[in-house]
Amino acid sequence: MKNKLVSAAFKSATAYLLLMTAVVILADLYPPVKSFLANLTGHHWTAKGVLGASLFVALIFIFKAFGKDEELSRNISITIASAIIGSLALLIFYLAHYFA
Amino acid sequence: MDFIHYLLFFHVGFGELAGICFLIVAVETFNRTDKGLARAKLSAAVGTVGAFLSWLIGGYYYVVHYGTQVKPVLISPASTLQWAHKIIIEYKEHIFLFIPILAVTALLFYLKTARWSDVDSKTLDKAAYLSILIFLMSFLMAGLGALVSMAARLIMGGGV
Repeated sequence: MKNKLVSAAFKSATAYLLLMTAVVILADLYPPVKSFLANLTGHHWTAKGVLGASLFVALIFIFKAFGKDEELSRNISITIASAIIGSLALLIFYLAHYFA
Repeated sequence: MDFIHYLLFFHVGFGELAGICFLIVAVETFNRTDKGLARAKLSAAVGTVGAFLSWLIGGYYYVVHYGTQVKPVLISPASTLQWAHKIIIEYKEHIFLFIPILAVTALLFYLKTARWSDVDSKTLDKAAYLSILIFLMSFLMAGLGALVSMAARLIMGGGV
């Protein structure tokens, strides 16, 4: 199946998942990043959610406008892999952070 | 019940509703019956709305109540259950940000699917696996939340 909008949504979701994982780890390692996020909306978690959701929507339009009409199967696999990798990376990070 | 209990009730309730809806989506996708696509679309829509409502309600509880009432108790120097915040909640609050985005992506896929036969079976199977992942992540959130509630009750007593 090929569909430009759905393909763009899966690519955006993949970018969102990987970027969110990186930002979460970065914000916990470098307090200025967390403070910057907290200053934006009053709480770092709210900022991550608002910025992340905005980025996801913006990327859908960008990928739809400039992306190719690709097969969905590969995009779904990459999104699933990104969600699993992001989840495991955060789990390992918080375990390591706690026991360090 | 206090307001805080209603927040927790609806946060958990909508989150589990989202998880169950995406389990239904996965089952319908594997079965691929004529009427199953409509049920999959409806379940994906309800599940996505549930995921967003759980996000908003849980977020309000987390920012307004948890940070002032529960977190200080869990991470106090006297606490033997600091892991409940420092591992479980830190992990949960961020994995939670994944679920609504995965849900809305899956919903778009189903809304754009007019007939099962329009999509090859490999892609449909992967869409079903994505729905299973959303279901598992939703119930992982429920389990982690239960662990933190247990830790808070152990320290503070009942009523949290």
